[in-house]
Amino acid sequence: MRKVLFTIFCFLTTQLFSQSLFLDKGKITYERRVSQFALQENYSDEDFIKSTFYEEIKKAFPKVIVDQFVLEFDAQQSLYKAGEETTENKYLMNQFKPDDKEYTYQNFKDKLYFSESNLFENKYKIKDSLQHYTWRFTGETREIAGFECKKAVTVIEDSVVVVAFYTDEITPSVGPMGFHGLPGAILGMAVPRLYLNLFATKVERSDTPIKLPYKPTDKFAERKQIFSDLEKITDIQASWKPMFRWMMSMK
Amino acid sequence: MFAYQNKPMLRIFIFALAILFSCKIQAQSIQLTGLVKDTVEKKPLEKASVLLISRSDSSIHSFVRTDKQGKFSLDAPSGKSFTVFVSYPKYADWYDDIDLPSSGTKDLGTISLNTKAYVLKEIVIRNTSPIRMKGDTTEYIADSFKVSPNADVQELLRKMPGIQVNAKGEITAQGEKVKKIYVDGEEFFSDDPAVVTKSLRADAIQHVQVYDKKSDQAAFTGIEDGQREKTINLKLKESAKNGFFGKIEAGSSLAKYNVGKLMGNLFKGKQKISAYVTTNNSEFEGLNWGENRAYGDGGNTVTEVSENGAVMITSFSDEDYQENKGLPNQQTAGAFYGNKWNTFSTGNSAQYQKVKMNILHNGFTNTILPDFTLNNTFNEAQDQRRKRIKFGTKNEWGTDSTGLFKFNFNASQTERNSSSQYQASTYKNDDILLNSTDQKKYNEDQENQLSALLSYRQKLSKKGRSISSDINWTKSDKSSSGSLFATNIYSGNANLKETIDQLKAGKQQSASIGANIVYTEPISKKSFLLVKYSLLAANNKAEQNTNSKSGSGNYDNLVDSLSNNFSFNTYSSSGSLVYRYNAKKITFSIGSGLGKVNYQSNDLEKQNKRSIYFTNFLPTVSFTYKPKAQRNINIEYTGKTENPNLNQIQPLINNNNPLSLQIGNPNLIQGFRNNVNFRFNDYKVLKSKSIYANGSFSNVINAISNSSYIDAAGKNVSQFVNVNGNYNYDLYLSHSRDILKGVNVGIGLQQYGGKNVNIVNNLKNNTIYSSLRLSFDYGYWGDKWFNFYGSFRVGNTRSRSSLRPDFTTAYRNIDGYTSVVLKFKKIKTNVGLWSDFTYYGAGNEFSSPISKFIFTPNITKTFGKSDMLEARISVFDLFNQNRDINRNISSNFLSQSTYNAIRRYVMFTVALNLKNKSAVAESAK
Repeated sequence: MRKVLFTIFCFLTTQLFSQSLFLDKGKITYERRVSQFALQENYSDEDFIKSTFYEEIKKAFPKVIVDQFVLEFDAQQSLYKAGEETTENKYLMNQFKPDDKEYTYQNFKDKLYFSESNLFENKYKIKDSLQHYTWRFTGETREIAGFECKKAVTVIEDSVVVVAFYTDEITPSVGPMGFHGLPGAILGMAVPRLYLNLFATKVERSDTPIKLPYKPTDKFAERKQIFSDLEKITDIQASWKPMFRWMMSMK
Repeated sequence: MFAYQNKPMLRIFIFALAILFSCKIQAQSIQLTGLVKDTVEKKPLEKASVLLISRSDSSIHSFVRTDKQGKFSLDAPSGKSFTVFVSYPKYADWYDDIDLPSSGTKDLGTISLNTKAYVLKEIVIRNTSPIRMKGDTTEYIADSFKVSPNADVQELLRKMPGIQVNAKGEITAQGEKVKKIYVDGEEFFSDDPAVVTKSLRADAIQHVQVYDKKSDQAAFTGIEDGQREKTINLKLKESAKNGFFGKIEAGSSLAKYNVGKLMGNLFKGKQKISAYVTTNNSEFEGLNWGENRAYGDGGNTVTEVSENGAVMITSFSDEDYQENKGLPNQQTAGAFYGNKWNTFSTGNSAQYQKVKMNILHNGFTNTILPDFTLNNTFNEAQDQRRKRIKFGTKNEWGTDSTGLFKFNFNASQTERNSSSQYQASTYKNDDILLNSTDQKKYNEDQENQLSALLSYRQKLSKKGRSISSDINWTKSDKSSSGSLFATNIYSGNANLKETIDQLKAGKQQSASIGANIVYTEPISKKSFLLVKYSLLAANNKAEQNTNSKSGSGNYDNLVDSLSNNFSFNTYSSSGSLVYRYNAKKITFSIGSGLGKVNYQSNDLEKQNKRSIYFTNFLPTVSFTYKPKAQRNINIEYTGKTENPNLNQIQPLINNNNPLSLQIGNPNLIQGFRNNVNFRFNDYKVLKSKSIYANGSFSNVINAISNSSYIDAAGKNVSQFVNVNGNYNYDLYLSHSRDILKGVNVGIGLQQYGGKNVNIVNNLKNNTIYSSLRLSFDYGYWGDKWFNFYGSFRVGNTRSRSSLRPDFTTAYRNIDGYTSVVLKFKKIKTNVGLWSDFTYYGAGNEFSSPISKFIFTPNITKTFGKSDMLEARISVFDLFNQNRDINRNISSNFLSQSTYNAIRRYVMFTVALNLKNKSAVAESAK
């Protein structure tokens, strides 16, 4: 009997020990920051930036918009969606406004990607294969939400650098939006070209099963549909299109 | 797989097949194995991550986690070079370079990891270089450290003693990890030291400062909490922040018209200095809007952000003159200085403007009366001049969270003078001359204006709770003098001839002070209450003396009826309460303002005092529904009391027009306006399709209208009266879409109209008017060599007066414009073709149609590397038809008038665009 108890005790301690070190399911809350002035200025001509008009805009809008997003994950799947609403936010570009209905769901077992996202008035339900990212390892580290994270860099759309910080203390290879494929969960991200960064503020263990965000009866399109529609738009300046393209391809 | 459990042969066969396939696909794959253990306790480490990193581009090829026994096994391509990287929480990372064999397996054996506590930091002490201490701050002079030509800041920091940058980009200064890095004291986009140091050039840095930053809380409250963060501040070199742009432009028609512009704008960090001098007699503008934004102080602009995030910027003008009405000639000069220190910002501007206008104005007014029609024709030549000096300062201090103070002050001095010659004659039923007048007027005045605004606002700690208040003060002084010489002939009245020869002198003084306080309180997360209280006190004094020529030949005969000395005072106080509900798709607000206003007038000469009180009531309800992006529906009701002003109750009498006399009405009461507005908007970006609808209706109870009595001699005596039955409406519908890629067309339909009630010769007159307009817009956008846009509108306006039910006035109106731009990028030439036309058709009272067609082509070529030099030939109004046409029908008046305007000229212009912007600053942005 004592032997049995001892075994149970040992089992419990090792369980606890491994729990405190590694997490295999749970919920990550992210805070996304977009420096909307820097973004606006990047796509506007100098006369506009120096104008009083723009000065007035800068007074009326916040320099940085902060929004919350949530990633639920377990070993097989992840679901990324908008978190608690920041009501006082004012967006220079509505495309950055989070929508409750938008989500990115990744199934790593079947290597499938599902998402719902908006591009202006169009709503897209996408079913496609998982995106493939080639991550470059840098060896740099920083701490995010109490976790030590390692830096890795990838390039999307041929030229847009995405910096990610992942922690190997969370075992599933998950990340915000459509990002994944690192030996751990991505807790921090920066996309300098979009003046966007995203850092985890809270990591919780959670045993609630992940609810599928789509119905099997939903009609899905392929990812490339969004890009071909975007190309057809004539109402936005050509110089702004890459920005929309990058944003949509990250989702 | 379970099905194969008992068939080992089959499994082996499949395995072999798999190997065969993988060989074919990717050269060959080998098995890399190993065991991860703790160095000290020799325990196997489970879930350690093992990464296989390509040595050629450091990309992660694959990764795996160790099993319970600490073992791992990875598939790896044979014959390639990799780095194996092993990490485990709280342990120091392990890595090694390996070359994989061409076949077989590779066993890395046991990999031992050390806990971090075992890893000691190595501190390197180098020889000292120019470093100085500023209080608690250590400052390094960047140029003293040699770096390679295109080095980044990280490389610079590595060279500095006491600062270490490890392979991971982490910075350690004075033995502590650096948490934050600033550029010129401000947070760079990312506060991640690794990102900042990599994205800035070393040669843009003047100083590197290392210090301990207090926590934000301590800095705000002044209460020490002992928390410190090692911080680095990178000070940029001045040359890295400076920039200059400017414009020199000269144009001439080689005869009458000349344009000259000289503008410069200098940036020095947060300082902006700009100055301009212009002269122009070819159009009415000193600085155009864009130039004013860049070189001026931006003029008077108000920015509002609505609930849904839409921005409205309204700019208003204090300009007395209008474009295309007369021949302008103006000179302007101005300077602006703006700067910012931490949370204090200031903008100061000074402007000088000199305008000369030559105006020829002529036209006719037909007045429909119960028994006959009066036809008045007039002809006026004016020479107006104005000089104005303005000074303004706008200052802000603080932030919304700690409290934001604003202080604005404006001062101006204006000198005007005008001389005019005016001839008019009035006919009864087009043929009988009733009266005629010939006047010569001269007037000059000088006006000094001062205004100040002091405001404070703060967002309180609870979300949605805020307080704001402001105090407004204005003061103005105006003195004027003038003369009137007129000959009036009243043919209808036994050919009476009257000569007026008078001198006038006037003085006006006004001062006002007002205060507002607004408080918002959140009731729930989505609803707010807004409370506002306002006070206003305004004092005006107006004195006018009219002297006529006496027998002695001097102007010493005071005309009592035309001389007066009044004071007017207004005192008001009001409060308002608004409830607002903001949800994602629905916005709703309801509220009202309630207040009291007191008008006091005092005739200082006759010692006649009058005081009246009105209660103001301003209810408002608004509802907005946003079912989806770029679609919204809004319905709004506003009610408003409309008070008569003292001039309507007791007017100041003047004889500028001896044939029209305004008398007061002490019985005027307050009116009330109801207004309902509906708006629908739907825009589809992807299809470039939009639908917009707008409708409004308003009516007025006890509206203040006009009662006039016109006698057979054409003399008009008018008075303000209360009437009922006034209403107006406006309906607008438009739809636009792409018909071809990039070619957008739109159609719009508008109908507006209403009923106007007034009193003519003691009879009530209802005028029902309406206008229907169809518009067609088209445009081709795209960054192609050919662009165009334009609009074409056809309308029909009609009006019918109950005085003469037999008589309907109707006419057709067509107008439009087209712009075509051709861009020849290879030869850096742009061709622009602008045309617009206006046509008013004939109608009962308008015997002949009136129209103009303006065609303005130009050709611009740019030269130089950055298109620095620009040469332009432009023709204005090729067909020499320009003038300003106005037509108006309302109540029982119909009028049409034209103004002279600038006509055909050919202008040759050369412009030099100067730009000097440091590439360093670009990279620092």
